[in-house]
Amino acid sequence: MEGLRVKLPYDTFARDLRRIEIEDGITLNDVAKVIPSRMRDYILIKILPFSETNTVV
Amino acid sequence: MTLVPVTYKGGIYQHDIIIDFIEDLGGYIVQKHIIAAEVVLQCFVPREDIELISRIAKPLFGEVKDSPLVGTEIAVVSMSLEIHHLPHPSCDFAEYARRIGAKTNMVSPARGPGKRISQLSDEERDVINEHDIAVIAFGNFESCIEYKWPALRRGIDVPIIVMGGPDTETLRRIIHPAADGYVGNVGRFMRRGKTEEEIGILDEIVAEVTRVIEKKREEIAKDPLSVSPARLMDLIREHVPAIHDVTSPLPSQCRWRDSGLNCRTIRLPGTYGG
Repeated sequence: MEGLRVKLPYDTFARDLRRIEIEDGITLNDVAKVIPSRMRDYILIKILPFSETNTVV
Repeated sequence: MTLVPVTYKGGIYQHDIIIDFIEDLGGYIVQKHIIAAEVVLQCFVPREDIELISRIAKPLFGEVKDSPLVGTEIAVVSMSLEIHHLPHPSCDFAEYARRIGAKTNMVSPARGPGKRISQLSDEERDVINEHDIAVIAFGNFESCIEYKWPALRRGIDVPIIVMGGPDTETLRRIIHPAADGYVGNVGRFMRRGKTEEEIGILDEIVAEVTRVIEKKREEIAKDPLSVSPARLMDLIREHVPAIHDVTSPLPSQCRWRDSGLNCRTIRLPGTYGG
């Protein structure tokens, strides 16, 4: 509901995920936290709320 | 534009029309299952367009249903992985919730059983906290639940629903500090829940989970997310092609002995993780 679980290894793919451009130069790293999940070697993306980023895309 | 979770069920014939239509309206397909000649789409669509989609789907014998659990991830916490605790109530609910669009994961504490000694490890707690909601499946004994509850809920910051053998009122009385939801009369039972009464209990759990999820959605709506998770999922599919090859939790390597009893290993093509 507030994020995504990406079933790809963190070390290999986290950087690529952070660089994804969403709109008008806003990257995923600007609106979400990309962190390693405690479940296997997955990646967890936690989307930040409007109050923290001041953007809605 | 408010996106609401729905499930579309219909025939495989011309189902791509519906997919294109939902995407044109600004909706997102979260999951697509093709089962024999039937297609089940779990998707987020604009609230005002649900009727329009139903009208388009009617000639194709498709139907659109509200599905509030689409896009949610539920941790079903069972006291142990043994036959003594696990299979029937927890698996019944996990499977039932999956049918209506939720993702369920079973979490079983290494030190779950035992009235006085049960506890939750740091890793187990973190895994539960990665979910949207936790459903803790207790056993039949009132005193056991009362003892175990404070230790098992410590550190969990997602909403918790308690299910257990005593009736709902008793659970409400014995559980301190309070949980977010209670479902009674569903303790341990040693068979698959097939009767109408047992399926009715599963419906009760789903109703309670839905109530808590809706409450959480309302809270999120007060301070909306910077980007919709469904949109982000679409973008990842577009920009990270490796995601299409993921077979997880299937292992990335396969080992077997050939006819000469030599051990052989092969990396499954295009698999990551495992």
